[in-house]
Amino acid sequence: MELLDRYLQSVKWLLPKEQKEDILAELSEDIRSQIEEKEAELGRRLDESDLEAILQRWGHPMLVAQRYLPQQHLIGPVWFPVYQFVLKMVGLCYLVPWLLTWLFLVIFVPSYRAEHPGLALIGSLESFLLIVVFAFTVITVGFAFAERSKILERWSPRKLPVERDPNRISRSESIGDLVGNLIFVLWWVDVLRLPSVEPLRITLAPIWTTLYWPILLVALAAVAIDAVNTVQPWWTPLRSRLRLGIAAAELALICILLSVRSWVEVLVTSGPSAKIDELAKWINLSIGVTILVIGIVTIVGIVRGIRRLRRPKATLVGVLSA
Amino acid sequence: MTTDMFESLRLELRRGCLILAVLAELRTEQYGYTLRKTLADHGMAIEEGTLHPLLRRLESQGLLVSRWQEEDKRNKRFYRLSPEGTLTLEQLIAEWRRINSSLDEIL
Repeated sequence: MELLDRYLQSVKWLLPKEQKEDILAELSEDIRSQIEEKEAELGRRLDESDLEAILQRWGHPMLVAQRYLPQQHLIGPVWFPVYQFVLKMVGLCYLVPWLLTWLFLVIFVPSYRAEHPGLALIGSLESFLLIVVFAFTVITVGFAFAERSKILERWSPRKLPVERDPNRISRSESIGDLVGNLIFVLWWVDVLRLPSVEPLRITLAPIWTTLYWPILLVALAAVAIDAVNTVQPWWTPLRSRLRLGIAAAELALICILLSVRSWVEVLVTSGPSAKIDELAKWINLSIGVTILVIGIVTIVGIVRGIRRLRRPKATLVGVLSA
Repeated sequence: MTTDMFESLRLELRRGCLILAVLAELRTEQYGYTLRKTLADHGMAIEEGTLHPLLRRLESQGLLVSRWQEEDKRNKRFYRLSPEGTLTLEQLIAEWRRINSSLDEIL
């Protein structure tokens, strides 16, 4: 009966404290009755494998004990899908770009590798891991709190979000893009000039001169699309294709830009040259990270554009007839 | 339909019926082991680890009463319907018959 004692002991450990002995006595009695009946049927004492088969049918001790416990969960089935969605979004929109930026620094910025030799390179991920743990904890605690609140009982259909039309373009977003792209074009054609900060002088690397016209054309095309989108805030198949084409051109330019290591040259009329080099390094690093982030945003835009085009045509036309 | 899916639907269908069967069987006092055997003999087999927690839950809901009693030189816990359980069982049987006749019409 050693197996039976071991089994009962394992169940006991997990049972609710106040009913432990009572439940165990009842379980023990039931299993013993079963053993006696089996022995009568076989006409012999049960060996260890017979007993093992009986206990297997009862189930894992944890499973048996769990049935006596009240149902408990940190985040229940109602909130869990939303919790999972939020975790995925935080991962995709924040942690993945963070990790990509780190990879970019490791691959394309030799000075970053020089500052973090060997294992220190992995160590430089420390803040990333802290962010992961922090984000996971905050989100989990938030949802555990929501689970215990009565938030789902206080609701009204009037407070539900308005149905979102996937083909509708946010006018504020279009205006924002239009203004941003216009400022860029004006700066690019030298109409707008950034105030100079003496004694600092930043000049663009030759790659920008090479790409002057392609960048200008892509920026002007983006301005044109943004202007039309502001006046007619819905996607048509033609405009969707044009936007996708512009995004593809943007991505190609970003790839070319990322193939170089230095985007600006920094000149300082006075000061030690070591400090100037350091400053140039950090400015180039910031530009590199910015180009990378723009690249990620562009890829997201391309994916959204493709999905928009792959939607059934009726959906696109439906908006026009509305 | 896969066997797994059928099994899960079958268990779902049986879950409510099992409570009714347990309450009905406990119009006569019984202890866990004999109750499980009686249910199995009537085609309502229940897993070993499931019956006792169910009995405890029904007892905590006031539908059953229990007592320890010696039988064949062993202490066994016997269950039977409480007065409240008897009343509830009558209501559940009436409900079961209503559902059954509705389903018969639908099926």
